[in-house]
Amino acid sequence: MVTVAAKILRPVIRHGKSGQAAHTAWPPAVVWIPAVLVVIAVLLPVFYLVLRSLGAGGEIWELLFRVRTLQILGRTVGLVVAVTAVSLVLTLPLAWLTTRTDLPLRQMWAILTPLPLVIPSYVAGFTIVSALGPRGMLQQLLSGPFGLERLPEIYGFPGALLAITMVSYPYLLVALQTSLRGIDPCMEEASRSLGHGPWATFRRVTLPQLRPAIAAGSLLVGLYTLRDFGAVSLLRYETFTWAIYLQYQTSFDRMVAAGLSLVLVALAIVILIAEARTRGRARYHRSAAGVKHSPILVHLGKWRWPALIFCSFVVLLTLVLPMSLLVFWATRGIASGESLGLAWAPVFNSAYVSALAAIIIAIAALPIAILAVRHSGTASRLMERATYIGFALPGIVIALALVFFAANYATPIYQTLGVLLFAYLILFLPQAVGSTQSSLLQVNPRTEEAARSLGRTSWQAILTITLPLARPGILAGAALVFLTTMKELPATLLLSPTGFKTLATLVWSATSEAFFAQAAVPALLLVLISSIPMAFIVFRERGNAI
Amino acid sequence: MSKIAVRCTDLTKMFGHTPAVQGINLELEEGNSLALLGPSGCGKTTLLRLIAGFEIPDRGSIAVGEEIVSGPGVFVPPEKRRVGIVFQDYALFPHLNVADNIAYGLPRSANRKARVEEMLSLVGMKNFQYRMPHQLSGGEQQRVAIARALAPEPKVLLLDEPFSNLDADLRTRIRVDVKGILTASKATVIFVTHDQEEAFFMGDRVGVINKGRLEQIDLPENVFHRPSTPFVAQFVGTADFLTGEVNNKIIATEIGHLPITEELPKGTKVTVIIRPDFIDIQPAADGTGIVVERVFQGTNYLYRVRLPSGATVQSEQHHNYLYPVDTRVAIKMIPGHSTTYFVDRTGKEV
Repeated sequence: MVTVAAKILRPVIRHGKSGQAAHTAWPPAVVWIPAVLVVIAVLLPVFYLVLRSLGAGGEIWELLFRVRTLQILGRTVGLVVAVTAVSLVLTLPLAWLTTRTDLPLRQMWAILTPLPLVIPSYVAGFTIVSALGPRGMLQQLLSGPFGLERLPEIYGFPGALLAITMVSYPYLLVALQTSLRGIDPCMEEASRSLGHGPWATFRRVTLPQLRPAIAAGSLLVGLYTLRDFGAVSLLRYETFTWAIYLQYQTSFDRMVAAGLSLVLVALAIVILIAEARTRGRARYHRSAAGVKHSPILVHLGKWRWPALIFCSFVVLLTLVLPMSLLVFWATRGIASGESLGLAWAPVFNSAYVSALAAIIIAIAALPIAILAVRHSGTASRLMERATYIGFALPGIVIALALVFFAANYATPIYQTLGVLLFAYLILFLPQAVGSTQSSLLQVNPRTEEAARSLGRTSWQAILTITLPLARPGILAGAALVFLTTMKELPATLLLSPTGFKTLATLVWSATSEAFFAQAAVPALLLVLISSIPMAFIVFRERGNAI
Repeated sequence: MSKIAVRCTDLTKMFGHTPAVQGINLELEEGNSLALLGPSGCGKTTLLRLIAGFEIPDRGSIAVGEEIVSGPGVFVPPEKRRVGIVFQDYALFPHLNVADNIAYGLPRSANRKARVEEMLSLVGMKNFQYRMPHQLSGGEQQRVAIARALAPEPKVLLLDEPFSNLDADLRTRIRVDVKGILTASKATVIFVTHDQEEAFFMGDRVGVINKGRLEQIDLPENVFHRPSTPFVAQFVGTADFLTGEVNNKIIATEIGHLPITEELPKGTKVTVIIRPDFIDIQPAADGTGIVVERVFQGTNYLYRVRLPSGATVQSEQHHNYLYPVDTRVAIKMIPGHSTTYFVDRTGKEV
């Protein structure tokens, strides 16, 4: 998911003379053979899942149209729509206030508001359950003086909506902020000089230009909600991901889980296609070349106080409160003698498996990115698109496909680190490919040709010229994979070798059993580690924007 | 007797259904320089890329020295051709300093340090060896690119629009420097440009390319004074065309008679090239021409004059002669120019 955000944060700029891109015949074997192998490997589980479901014959249709399936579908779509709608209402004013007005401390709000991106959904789920759930903080506070035993139910729809909105609205916010910064202020000035007031100008000039960003950002939030497992499982709201997990845990009939997975994948593909379309259209809205000047900031006047309260409220709810809760439970745990020694094995496991994933995936992404950038054609485009299957497949689905596959056909590798890393490869390959690609696009293809004419083979040219020059993007891709692997939950939960605990699985299992103090320290660690690359991305984006 | 450094035979390259290079034949002797001149998009860069080995021809062959490098069933990869290239944007390796850029193409066995220093002094950049490419001006980057390409002693050096990335006021000076460097290195050079002045200055011979075809390859003087096609006449220098008819070693046109040396059948229709310095105009009430445009060029005015047939010719006049538009003028041929003409073949015109 973060890749998509990264793509918005740092739009890929295709430059150079398009007609003269080096379309020299056949790409070198050192590039296309590994690329083909990676693509085949990535597509394997999908084919397997489809085959398994089709193998079920008529039963599958019966299953798909059962009332329960339709209920799950209704809940899932309902949650997706609700999260997207709430995010939109929240982010539209937020994006405008932080980019176009003289809001006090505007720069600070612009930096703080996207930060909840670093909080995994299950940590958000943890903060909600630990604050508002039974045995939670609020109930404990109230039970003393008031003898209150029950609070309104937080499990289910309200909790899931709150948790997911908290951590996914920044995707939309960042899309809107980037778009607002990108709009040429001259157009708004032209509108003003043609006799329209500020409000009419916003409605008739600014808003239409924002439409692609609104569409693309909303779809990202929707996709996040659809794929989310952590929050819905902790808040026990039975959408597809949670239903698939329950089915897998409780029943031996894996056909049902496979069938549910297919519906989920179909939904994800619908959203992805819609997103790709709006992205394509968004290109036409990019402002023309030429020196842009900064927009004139709207003077808020007495409205700046409500605006300030609004921004503070959002930051308080989505950032300050969750972080304070984490710190509260962590210190309470330490005070009551919770053993912290336990936490070190998961920390090591998380870091170890994430680092391995980062290295493997960055290497696997290279040939595909080179092929897509340097040898653009139908075949290479198809291969590049095939790697994006990771976007369409929620972690729980990939995990399930690999569990079936390994348990039936490859028992020796069942429950080994290898299978887990393979799942990460499918999930996070697109992030690494995207990042490597955007870096490769900035390498002048003439430098590679110069190396060839100076006596180096294509392989030597890649090693001595292309890779050193594309290093920033390759490293950024690896960092991104490291971060997302750290946070990944469902695949890690299903595929980890027995007894292999990571920070993510620890937070999740401790929260499920309401051991809040136990979950707090690993959750805090996860958020802190995730903040480092996030800070890097945010500051880089701000550097570019100025 | 000098040897042939590059030979292209019937060289053809298609991009989709559009031909970029069509049936080009050319030969270049060792130590000579050839300027390929043509409008943008005419295929001259593609020709360079074919010779360098970055594109595979659809037909024909290329030989570098004695060896066929592209041809039916033969394709020598770029790294084995010993063809140096200087790109339009120089394409220096941004992560390597000047010395490492120049050393990049030298074999490990060679005395690389000595060769790098030799090249640095050839291009006059001795104190720049530890600079990074982004710390150099455009002209300096170009010299490094030339040094880098020349260091492994290529059999031929290709330069793609070498001066187009430089400011206009720098261009003339740098042109002189580059010609000096290339002459000193005794390299065989093919370079591509759309600027005729550059082509005449840099090339021992000039080849004019239009729509992928080599229209003429000759000494610069001949390309200018004896263009072999109407396109060459028009692209190299300013030219207007008038139709005429042969009558006993004379071509009769609407502005007068022109002598020819060739025997042609009486009544042959020809197209004659008229350059602005060929004709003189004088205001006259009974003149056949009317001034339709006047462009001030500093020392001269360039007049465009409409003839009774509707065709127009241009005439260069000293800036003392100022005639307003719509002036009726008499036209006179200035003798002493060789007459260039093309025998009309229907459907094969400019």
